[in-house]
Amino acid sequence: MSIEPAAPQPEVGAAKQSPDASFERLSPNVRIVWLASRTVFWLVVITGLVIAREIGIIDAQWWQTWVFSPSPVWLIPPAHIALRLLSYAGWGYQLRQYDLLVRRGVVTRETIAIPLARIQQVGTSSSLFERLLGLTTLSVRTAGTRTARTRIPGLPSERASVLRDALSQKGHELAE
Amino acid sequence: MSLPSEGEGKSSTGWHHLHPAMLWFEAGRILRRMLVPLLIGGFAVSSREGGFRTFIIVSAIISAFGFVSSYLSFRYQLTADGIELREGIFTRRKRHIALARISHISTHQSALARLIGVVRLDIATEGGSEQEASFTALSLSAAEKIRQHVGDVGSVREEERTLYAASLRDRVLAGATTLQIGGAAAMGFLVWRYVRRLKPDESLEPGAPPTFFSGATAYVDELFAAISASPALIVLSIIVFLLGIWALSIVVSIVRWQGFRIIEHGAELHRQSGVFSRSRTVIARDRIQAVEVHASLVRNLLGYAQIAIVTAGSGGRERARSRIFIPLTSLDRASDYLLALWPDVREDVDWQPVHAYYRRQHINRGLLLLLPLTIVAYINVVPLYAAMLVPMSLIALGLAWLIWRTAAPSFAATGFALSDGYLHVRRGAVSPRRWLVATSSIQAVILQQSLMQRRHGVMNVVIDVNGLANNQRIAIPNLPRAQAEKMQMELTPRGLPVLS
Repeated sequence: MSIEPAAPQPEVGAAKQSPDASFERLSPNVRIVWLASRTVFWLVVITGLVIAREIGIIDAQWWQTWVFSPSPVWLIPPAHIALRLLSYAGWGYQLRQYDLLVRRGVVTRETIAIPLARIQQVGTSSSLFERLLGLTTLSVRTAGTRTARTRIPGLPSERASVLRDALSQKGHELAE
Repeated sequence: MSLPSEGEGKSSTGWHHLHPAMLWFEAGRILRRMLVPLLIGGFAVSSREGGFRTFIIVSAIISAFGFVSSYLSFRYQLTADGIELREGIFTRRKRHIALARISHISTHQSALARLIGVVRLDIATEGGSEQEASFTALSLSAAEKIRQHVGDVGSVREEERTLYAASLRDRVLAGATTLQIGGAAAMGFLVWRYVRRLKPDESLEPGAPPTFFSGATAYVDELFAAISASPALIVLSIIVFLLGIWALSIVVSIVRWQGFRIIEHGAELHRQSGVFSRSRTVIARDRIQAVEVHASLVRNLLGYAQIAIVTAGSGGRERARSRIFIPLTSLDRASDYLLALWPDVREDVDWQPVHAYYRRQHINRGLLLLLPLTIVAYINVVPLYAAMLVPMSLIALGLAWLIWRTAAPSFAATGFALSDGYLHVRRGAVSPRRWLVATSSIQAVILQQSLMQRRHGVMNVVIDVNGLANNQRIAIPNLPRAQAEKMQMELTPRGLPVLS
């Protein structure tokens, strides 16, 4: 039960010294997908609330004061949409020799290193909006808890397929 | 594998149903699970009784359909190389759990189950985040058959050695040092809100005789009026309330840990517990991913800690309580238990310190915690008596001083070490926590950096393993960036190491 820390580290090229430089960005079009899907989400929520008020399910005074008249609560949907759009700057990924790095977050940044040998499942999926723009989400599953499902959204579809196959194959080789 | 493998490899024993008592348990389980949504739904849907009643009836019909159909459709069969399960009415599902994949089985018997003579049996496999299969109710003989079939797990008569047995003293101390005030206060508040909601004028005709609820409402109102008349009574009632909760948590702990013991059984550890509900879980040592030693504030002052384990195959929704390995131990003895879990672990490791920004973060976080107290005290969001301002300010000042004083010891007690295939992490002095992780079980490493940390060029190194509970987080806080990136490289293996 050891990981041979003394053994020389694998050559990972320039990535190890300056990871920021070689991170690949998501397709800029992913912002349109995010904008569209969050807008639809809020339209559904708002319509639901209006219907609920009309048929009398919610009739308490505080709903009237805080939700159905101008109030700070109205800032939540635009803030929610804006935060998603701003998060674009934080996203990036990098496939190295022995692991996949996924970087995300704007305020709190995180870089996830998933050893290729630990990958249990790789998949691609596209929502309706993504398909219209030729984008695909890549999802990587490990047996871990927090990285049980790590997603990289907004990849051009061909790039996603190449990555999926590469991850699957390299993971398979390394796990043997 | 004690099953005689007559004929072909498969289908040896035929299909079996669960015990019909399963219907009762499922109904009870669903009722328990729906209690909170029902209460919330009751508040949200309508104040009129009709809506609430419809809501309950519809939910009851849907859930009854669910558990009756699952009883009718669930069948299992023991095959030579595993267990085969069939379930589902509309969507049929057939599963085969290979014996080789089963990491542990556990049995659980509630007081009611003991009366009926049934037992619940759960099978966990490596890689899953939940139980692989749960047999809600099995007759004792059927459960024993599965146990024997799964193999030597739990039925080999090897030499047993009790590693830990919860004494009465441990149980009392464990309860006395558990803080459950928050939960109890929230419950009290909810009940009070509920009682207040059913005002007599809303549900009763004028002049009708008082019902239980209207009587209770009036009583609560009177009681509150009487208490709020004097600050001394307010303080007294808070003290009585807190003492009541304290006593309750001691009683709960005495009952909960009754008969709790850890038994060493060859390469396995058995965890046995329960007075009303009895359960016995088999933990294979090589499935343990990480161990956590944690001393809460009060326990730390008294020199006690609690040990929890993270095993492969558990995780996600499983309750944190069911992971507790040792409910209460003195801090000096904690390492004995660590050695019992992992005999090759070394205690004299070379601890590395973290970045000095840790101290500043400790102070910032502490002051942030004080903020609500300050707001309540000075902006008067909650109307307070002028007399309360002085004690509140004193408490805030005292806490601020404590935060200031504990920053340096907390920093000194925080560090990490990498030695012989184990990662050691310790943090904090006030409520210290120590993690021990088998590096071969690390699934991924995450580097996290907040805005403030970016300014100081430091990062948290978060370790991900299989089976962590939602509230468990293994992290080395505030490492300089270069060191954090080096750790990430060292901890993410290039090939898949084999856990011996």
